[in-house]
Amino acid sequence: MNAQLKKGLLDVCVLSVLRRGESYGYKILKDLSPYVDLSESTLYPILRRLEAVKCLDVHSVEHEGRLRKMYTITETGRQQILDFLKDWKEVETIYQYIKEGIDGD
Amino acid sequence: MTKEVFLRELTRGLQQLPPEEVKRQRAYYEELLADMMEDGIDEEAAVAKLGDVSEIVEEILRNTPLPTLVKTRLKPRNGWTTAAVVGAILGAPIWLSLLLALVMTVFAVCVSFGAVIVAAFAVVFALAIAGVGIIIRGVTLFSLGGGYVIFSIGSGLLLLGLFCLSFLAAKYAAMGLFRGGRWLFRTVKGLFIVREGK
Repeated sequence: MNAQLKKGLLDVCVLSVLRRGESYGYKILKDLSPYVDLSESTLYPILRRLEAVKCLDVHSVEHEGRLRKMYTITETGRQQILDFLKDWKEVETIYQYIKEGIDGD
Repeated sequence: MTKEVFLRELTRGLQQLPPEEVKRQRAYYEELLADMMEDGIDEEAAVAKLGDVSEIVEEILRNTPLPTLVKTRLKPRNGWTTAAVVGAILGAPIWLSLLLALVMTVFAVCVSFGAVIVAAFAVVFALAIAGVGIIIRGVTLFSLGGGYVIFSIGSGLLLLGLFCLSFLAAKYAAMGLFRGGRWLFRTVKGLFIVREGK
């Protein structure tokens, strides 16, 4: 997939994982692996960015004698997903227009 | 590579970042590795899955905002000692003017890039205005004879043609300058990224 297009999608992908329930770094990567190719080093800045814009909350829980960072989606994060879905409608219209241009050939 | 070696190399590579950011990054990778190993992946394979540590470091530094890199680059490793503060104050006439010169140079370069673009488009639109003006004048001075009118309209159309060509040229030149500016910014940012071994 085109890098620019993918970049915008990844934030929503991560939020969508958290929309299904709170999660942690490794699990987010695992849950998304069938759908997008997301590397460990790419996930970190996404989580930081989403935290900075208050789309998710972070807290640490103890797990097997160590601390694990858990991420929870916020109301802003949920709204971001809805906004994305709304924007996608427009993308679909543009897609149809582009496709019709090719079909006309 | 073992988990310990990976984390040590990561920490060493990120030493120019603020300590709390290094701690965060380290904790993130430490947790990932622990989770992978808990998932049944053996230590070496888990580290290998993360990829080359120098590439990870490079990516992190590239994604770090320039002010953060500059701030940590200029800050003495063990905080501000009295000697460093005295040195900084006494050296102010030198480093302050150098810093000011650097800022002004970057500013001047940005302004000149902008000025070149504005000037180029001014010339281009002058051609269009002149072309239209000559055509109108040629038509209004119909009394002077058909030859004059044809000559004026021809000249006007020629200028409009030049306008179209030069508009394209100016557009590509502006895009080139814009890319040049971006490249310059990245290069300046690169100066503040210390690579391992340097």
